[in-house]
Amino acid sequence: MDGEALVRDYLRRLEEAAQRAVPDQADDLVADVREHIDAALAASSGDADAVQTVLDHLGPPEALVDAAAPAGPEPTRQGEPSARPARAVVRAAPWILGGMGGVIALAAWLPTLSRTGLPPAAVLVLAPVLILAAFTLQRPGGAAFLAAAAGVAGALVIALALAVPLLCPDGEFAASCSANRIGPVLVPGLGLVVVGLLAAARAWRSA
Amino acid sequence: MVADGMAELRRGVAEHCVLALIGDGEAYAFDIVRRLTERGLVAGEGTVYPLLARLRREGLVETTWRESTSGPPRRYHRLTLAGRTSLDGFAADWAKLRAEVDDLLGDAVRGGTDDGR
Repeated sequence: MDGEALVRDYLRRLEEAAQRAVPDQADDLVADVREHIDAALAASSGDADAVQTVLDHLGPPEALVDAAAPAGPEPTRQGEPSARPARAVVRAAPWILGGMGGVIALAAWLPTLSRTGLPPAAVLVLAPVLILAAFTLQRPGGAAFLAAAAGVAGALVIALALAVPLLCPDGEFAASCSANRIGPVLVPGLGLVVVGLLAAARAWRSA
Repeated sequence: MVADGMAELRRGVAEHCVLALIGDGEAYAFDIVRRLTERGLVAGEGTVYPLLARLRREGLVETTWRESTSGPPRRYHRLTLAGRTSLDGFAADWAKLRAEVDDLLGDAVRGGTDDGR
């Protein structure tokens, strides 16, 4: 087999193994390895022996694919979730927020919730805010911004909720007025505080 | 067993060795691979490429394409802020780990510790 055929055969085996195990990384891996072979051969005679040496140094295609496979025997990855549970939560923050936003948006359509007096405006604002927060968290520097914004907004909303009893009329309706208004206003307030805490944790982690 | 142990140790530090090799500059993947191999830090040259791909996906390194005087354009790697943070964290962890292990090994060579462990 001449040098060119050796390279073709190696890249074909690599591509087949990668397509089976890590299809989303296959193109990238093959392109990187092809570039490596080109660079290595540029400084050599390029005959079959030289090509074989380059391929031997690369290692068998299966070893490359094993190293790329997420379930590969890699102690740092296996140890990570148990060693740093907080980091796993922080990493999942966008999904948690997106999920919360989705659940709240769904809940807005439930008639039981509307009977509790939850102001539709609060639900309609909170759901997109949470979903937007999920996307903001994924942007560089988004976490710190979100932590500050959610912290301020959450404090305002909770202050508003605590002020509601003062706005309710005196007399026998006061209790039900407070119950109907405090709860629904506290929900978005606490939601924003959760957003703030998750964002702060994420900002702290990347700082 | 000794050889396997060494492979495990290398695997545990390879990612940060790549980050350290890139350092404050820019590095061509081929050069990263060669320098890691020369130092005996990777078993096969090829395994560095999945590792580099993972660092890119995790946002620890970013790449730029540069024209080459000898061939097609080359992709150069440099650390992101997250990559730099990760490297600094590893450097601190490593210093601590090394000191502890050296201490234990020193005791072992001298014939065990005083408290009987």
